[in-house]
Amino acid sequence: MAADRLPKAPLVEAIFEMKWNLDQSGSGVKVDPNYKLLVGRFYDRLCEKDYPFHEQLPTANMPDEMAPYIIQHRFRKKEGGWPLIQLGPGIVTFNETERYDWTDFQHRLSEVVTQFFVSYPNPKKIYVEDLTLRYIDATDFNFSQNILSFLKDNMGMDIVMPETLFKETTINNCPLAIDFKITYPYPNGGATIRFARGTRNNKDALISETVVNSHGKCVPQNQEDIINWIVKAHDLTHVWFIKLYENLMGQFK
Amino acid sequence: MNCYPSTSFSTSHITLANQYSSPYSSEIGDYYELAIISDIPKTIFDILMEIIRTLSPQFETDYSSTINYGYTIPTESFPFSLDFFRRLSIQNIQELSDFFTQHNDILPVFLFGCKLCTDTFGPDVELSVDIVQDPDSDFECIEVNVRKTVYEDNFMEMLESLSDRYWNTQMDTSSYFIISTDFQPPVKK
Repeated sequence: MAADRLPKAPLVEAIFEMKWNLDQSGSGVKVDPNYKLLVGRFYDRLCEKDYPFHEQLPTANMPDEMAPYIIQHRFRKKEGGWPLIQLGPGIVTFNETERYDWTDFQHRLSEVVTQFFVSYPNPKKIYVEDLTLRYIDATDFNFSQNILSFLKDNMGMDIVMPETLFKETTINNCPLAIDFKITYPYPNGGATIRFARGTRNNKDALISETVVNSHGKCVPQNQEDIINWIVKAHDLTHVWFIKLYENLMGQFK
Repeated sequence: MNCYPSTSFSTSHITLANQYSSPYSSEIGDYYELAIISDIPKTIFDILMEIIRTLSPQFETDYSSTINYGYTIPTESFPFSLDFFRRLSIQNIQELSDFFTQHNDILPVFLFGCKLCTDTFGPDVELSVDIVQDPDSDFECIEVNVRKTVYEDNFMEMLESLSDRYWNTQMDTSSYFIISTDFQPPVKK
C-alpha cells in the first residue's frame, strides 16, 4: 500500500471487497433475489450524487444464476476515473488508484458500506461472508539483477535456494521470475504478502500485494463492525508497507 | 502448464504466463443468453451449469480495476474471458450436452480451444460446434468449425498454428476435439 501522500508512491490500486452470501437452490445455483433492486436503490442513494458515471459491464447480460460474485456494474466518480464502486451479485468493491489517500479512502469506503446496508431491500437477511482489503504496489525492477538479493538487501526478506540445486548444472542461480506468497493467520482469515514479477506501464516491475482477508461465520455483520474491520486491516497493511519498504522510501518521495 | 481456463473479471489483467485476456470484454450473446433464459430442458441447463462449475474452481477472482500492470510469472492458471460463449453456434445442444455428460474431462479443454479461436480469429468469428463420428471407429469427438465472413489469405496457417497450442491439452482425456473449417459464412448475425 502507499503511505499517505507519498508523491511517487508505488501504489497501483487499493481495493476493498465485501461478499455476501447468496441463496443456493437445490441445483446449486446461487442467486440473490434482492440484487436487482439493490442496484437501483444503491445508485439512487449514493452513486447518482457521488459516482454518477455508470458502466454496465457486458457481464450484466449474463443471467444471475451464472454470475455469482461477478462484477456487473461500475459507478465512477468521473468518466474513466477513480475511485469507483463495483457491484455484482454477492459482491461490492471499492477501488482507488494512484490518488489514494487513506483519509479520503476511509471516508468514502465508510459511506459505501453504510449505503449498501441502507439500500439492501432486506438488510437483516444479509450475511456477509468475506471481507478483503488489498493493496497492489509496483516498483520498477530489472530482472537481469538478482531479485532475491534485492529483496534481502532492501526488504529484509532472506529467501535462499540451496546452492546444490545449481552445482553441476547449467542453471544460473539468478531467478528469471519470482512469485513468492506467504500468509499469516489473521482473525477469521489470513494476512498475505506477495511478491511477483510483473509489469507496470509495460516496464518490468516487482509487483507486491498486501492482502488482509476474513471470511466465514465470524466475519463482522453490521456496518459499524465492518468499518472497524477495515480500519484494523488498514493498520496492519500500513505497518507492513512501512516496514517492507523502509529502505526504498526515499525513491517514493 | 495447466490449461484449464479461469475467469478474472477485473480490468487489471492479471496477465500471467504471457497469456492476455480481456476479462471485462465478457459478453454473452443473444444466442447463448436465449439458450439459458428461455424454457430449456433441465439437462441442457444442467450442462450449462456444469460449464460454470467447471470454470468456477479455476476462477481467479480479481476485483482490481486498473489495466496498467500485470504479472508475467509462470503460473498454473490464467484469466479467461467468457466472450467466446457468444461465438458458439451449437448445432444440437442436446447432443452436446449428452457428449459432455459422458466426457466431462474434455469440457475445460474444449472451452480453452474455443477461447483460443476467438482470440486468434477476431470478433467476427463463429464457432460451429458439432459432434462427429470418427469415420474409422465408433469414436465420437467434437468438431469446431471456424467460420468467418472473410477468410484471410493466411487463414489456414493461423488455423494450423492453433493445433500446437490445444492439441497437447487433451492427451489424457476420454475424447478429443478438433478445430477445422468448412469455409462457410457465419450463420448467426
